[in-house]
Amino acid sequence: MLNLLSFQASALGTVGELALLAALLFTLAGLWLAVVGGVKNDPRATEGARRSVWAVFGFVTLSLVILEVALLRDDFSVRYVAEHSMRVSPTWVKVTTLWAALEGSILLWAWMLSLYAFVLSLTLRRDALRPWALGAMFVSMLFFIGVVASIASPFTPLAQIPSDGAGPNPALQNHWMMAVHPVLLYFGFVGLSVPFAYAVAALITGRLSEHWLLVTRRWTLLAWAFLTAAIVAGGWWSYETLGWGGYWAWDPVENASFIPWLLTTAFLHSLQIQERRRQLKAWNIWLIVLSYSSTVLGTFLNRSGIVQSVHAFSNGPVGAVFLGFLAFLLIAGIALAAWRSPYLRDEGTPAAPLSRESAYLAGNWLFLVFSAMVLLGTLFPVLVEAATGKKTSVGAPFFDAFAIPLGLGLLFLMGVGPLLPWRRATGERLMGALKIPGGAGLLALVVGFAAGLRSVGVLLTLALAAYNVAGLVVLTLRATKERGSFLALYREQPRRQGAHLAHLGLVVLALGVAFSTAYKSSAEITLNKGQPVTIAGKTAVLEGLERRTYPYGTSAVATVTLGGQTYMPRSNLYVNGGNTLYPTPSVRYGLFGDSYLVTTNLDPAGGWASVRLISSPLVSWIWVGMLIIVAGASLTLATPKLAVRQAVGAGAVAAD
Amino acid sequence: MTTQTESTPNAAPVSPLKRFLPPLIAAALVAALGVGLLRGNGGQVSGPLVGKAAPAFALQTLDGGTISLASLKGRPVVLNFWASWCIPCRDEAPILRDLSEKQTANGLAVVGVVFSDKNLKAVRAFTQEYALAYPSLLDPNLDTSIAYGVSGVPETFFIDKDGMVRGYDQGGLTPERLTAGLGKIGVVN
Amino acid sequence: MQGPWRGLIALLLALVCSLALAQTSLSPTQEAQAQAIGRTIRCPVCQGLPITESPSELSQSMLRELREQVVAGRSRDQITGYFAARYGDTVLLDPPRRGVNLLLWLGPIAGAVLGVWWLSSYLKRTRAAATASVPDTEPEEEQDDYLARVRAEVSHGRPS
Repeated sequence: MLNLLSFQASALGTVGELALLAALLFTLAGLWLAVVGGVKNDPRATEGARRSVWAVFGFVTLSLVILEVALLRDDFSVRYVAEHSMRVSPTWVKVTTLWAALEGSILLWAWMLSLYAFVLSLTLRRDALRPWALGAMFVSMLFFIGVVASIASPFTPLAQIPSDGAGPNPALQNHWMMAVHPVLLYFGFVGLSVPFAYAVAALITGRLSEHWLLVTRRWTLLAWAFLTAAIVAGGWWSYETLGWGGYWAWDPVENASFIPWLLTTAFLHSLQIQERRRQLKAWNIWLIVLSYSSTVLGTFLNRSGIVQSVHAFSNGPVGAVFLGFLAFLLIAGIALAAWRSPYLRDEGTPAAPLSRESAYLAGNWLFLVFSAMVLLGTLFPVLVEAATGKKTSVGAPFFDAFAIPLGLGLLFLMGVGPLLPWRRATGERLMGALKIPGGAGLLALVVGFAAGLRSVGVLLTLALAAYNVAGLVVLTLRATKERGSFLALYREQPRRQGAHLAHLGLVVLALGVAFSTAYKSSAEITLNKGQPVTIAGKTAVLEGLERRTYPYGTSAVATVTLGGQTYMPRSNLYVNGGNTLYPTPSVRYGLFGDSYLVTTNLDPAGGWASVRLISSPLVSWIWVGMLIIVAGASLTLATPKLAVRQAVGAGAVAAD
Repeated sequence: MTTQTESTPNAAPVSPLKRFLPPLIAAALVAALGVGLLRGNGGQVSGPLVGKAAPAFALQTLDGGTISLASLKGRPVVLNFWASWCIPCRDEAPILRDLSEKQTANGLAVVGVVFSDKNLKAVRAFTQEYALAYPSLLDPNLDTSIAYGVSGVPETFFIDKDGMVRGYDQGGLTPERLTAGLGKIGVVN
Repeated sequence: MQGPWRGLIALLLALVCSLALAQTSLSPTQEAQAQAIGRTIRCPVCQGLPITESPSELSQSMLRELREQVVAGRSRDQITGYFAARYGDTVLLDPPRRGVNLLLWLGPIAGAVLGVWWLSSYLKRTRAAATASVPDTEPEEEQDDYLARVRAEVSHGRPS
């Protein structure tokens, strides 16, 4: 590799590569120290491992900064900049080009991993788990830093330095979401590495403690919140740029981010059973191993090109290497779990069939079937082609056929769960508790039907939404009355109130998905300048059609007045995008529906434009619902220590 | 400060099968993915139309004349879909030009069809740049492209003299793949 | 050109233009059928999008071809078969549920059944183990987590 380093060829590139190599060195050292510290119970080795984390973080940060600087300074001696950036791009595009392609995105992943490891090294306690948790983080870092330092290095020198670069994929220059979605997504994926590290530590040492539970739950919740925000933000990005008014296509890489989300949500709930009842310990370990492995599976699918997708990066040896890491994680992680999890014994008696635990278990079952279904659908074409050589394809009809009943089932359980007590519920109590929510659900069903809704999925979603909301309202009102004020209730049970808020957000999101999918309508028309046309009951006039030129491309902007409101959909051409048009639809967001106008064809010289008008009811509820979910998760994360302190306050026998 | 932990060294008895089953399943999944990855989706693709009658077409050339598949009956035909914006088409254009110089009045016919390209100036420039000595047909409605199941360019169909599709290539012809395709319609390169 | 003739030419031009731009007109049921079938046909140049939702030229042409076939009265199977014969089965978003695709559709159902079986066996196992070892103490009526935890710890005699 030393022949790849040349200060003459590229100063920045060489320093960046050296920084990565230094980080790799410290990762190896840290891994060694962590293992020694764990095996020999040597606190000095563990401390050495801890400090190595800081060194790794420092060096990876340095290489990240160097790549950003190279991008911003148009330093085309650095390979990544030459291949993926160009002079004429605006500054924000140059900044986001850092993760626009393979090498940079792996560097970003590695950086986030080192950041999480750094924070972990500052917050984790001195206990038997510490060296092993650090060690597990080092294993993850070894892979990602190893890959970006060697086969996927952005800094390898070029034979010839071009005067200008090739520029980023035009689809990634089109919208500011490029600055948000990938970052959120990686924070979510990488965040799962910490609970995974703790799980590995627990497996190796055979110890689970209060502290393990608390810490795992909080890190998982953080990663989960990021993941939720990222997935929905990605959907919003699709909505705003792809021109078909949709936000989810069961694209293989969308699925690859959805599977970890499903598994992590299941994990968050079954963790509570472990917290309350000291049960399902082994199961939870399995679940977090599967969740983390599924994120690596996702990134493998993304980078190997094995399943064709809008997201797929280029092929190369990277795919095989990621498969290797996935194999290692899955096989080693699962083998470790299979070997050691029998040592994690459950206590207490299992709950009655009618209890909150059972609701959570049923929820877990649904989440797992959901994940398995999505995984099967995503991998099916690959597996069939590997086995028989035949090409087949799996699309929305398959995924929707199962996702809808599973989603409705989850909505149902989400409503009944908070109403059930732990351990055992009597039939009468449950019926009593269900009276109001059930009544609200039925009422909503009747009202919906009377209002003309005929889609079964929408009606059921509406009924379940009303039932959920009524249940939450009744619970909260009753609890507030007992404690005097909502603030007092929140201070006493911040976690539960945060969870209720997150559930409410999910209900809002579900309504948005149901209505926008079932009742989306579109109409297409060709407008000539100045001539009014009636479309979908409104008058549309093409007021103007102009071509704007930017350094990085041209935009044909149509100004359309529709129903009294002005829309300005654009059709963009990028200098490095050939003749492909990238639309920017003009969207008017409304509380009860969006009006979405996109140009499909236009001719500024001829003075006409073909536009498509898409009306999606309640689609904004999806984005708003996501914000509510994240708010709920933040509430839960905000004051956790309070709840624990109160519970273990008065000289408890239990430890931490 | 040490934390209170629960460590229970006595493991519950678990059958060896149960212990090894999950890692085995994981290994099987990874192996399947590995095979899928290594096979890749490159290489010769068999077209759905191979072995079926070539769909008829009658399209205009760049110069205004008309060529139909029926008029070529009795001759082996190499039908190539291309576009001026297509980069691999540029790589295979010289190969097709060399081939087209071997056309004879009652023998091999090489015909091009322009796919999804409205820029006639660029189309003409392309044919001139590569000195393509065979007609290129315009398919503005994409009807013929759909009839042939064309989803991208370049795609090439090898049609024998009886009008049956015998060979299919996509992604760009190389001399070897061209010879192989020609062999399927009985033409020696 | 004189006034009335100019108007007539303009009208004829407009008529011709609108005819050229107009699509094959379908009745509402036919349009609904076309949309339903179109939603199961993948756009060959996109990833995962049906031709009803792709703005690409190829998709629009395929959709137009589909509409013409619907007007001509062909059945759903005939139309999807038409496209599958030319583009291969991968162009169908809802491939025929035959042969190897059966595995796909039965998979989640099998998984769900497996899950229920595993859950119930787990519950039986733990219930049997619990009744064999420690008899259950008085059932908790309302959950007070702290109290329950203290009780559990005391009853199991945890080492301090």
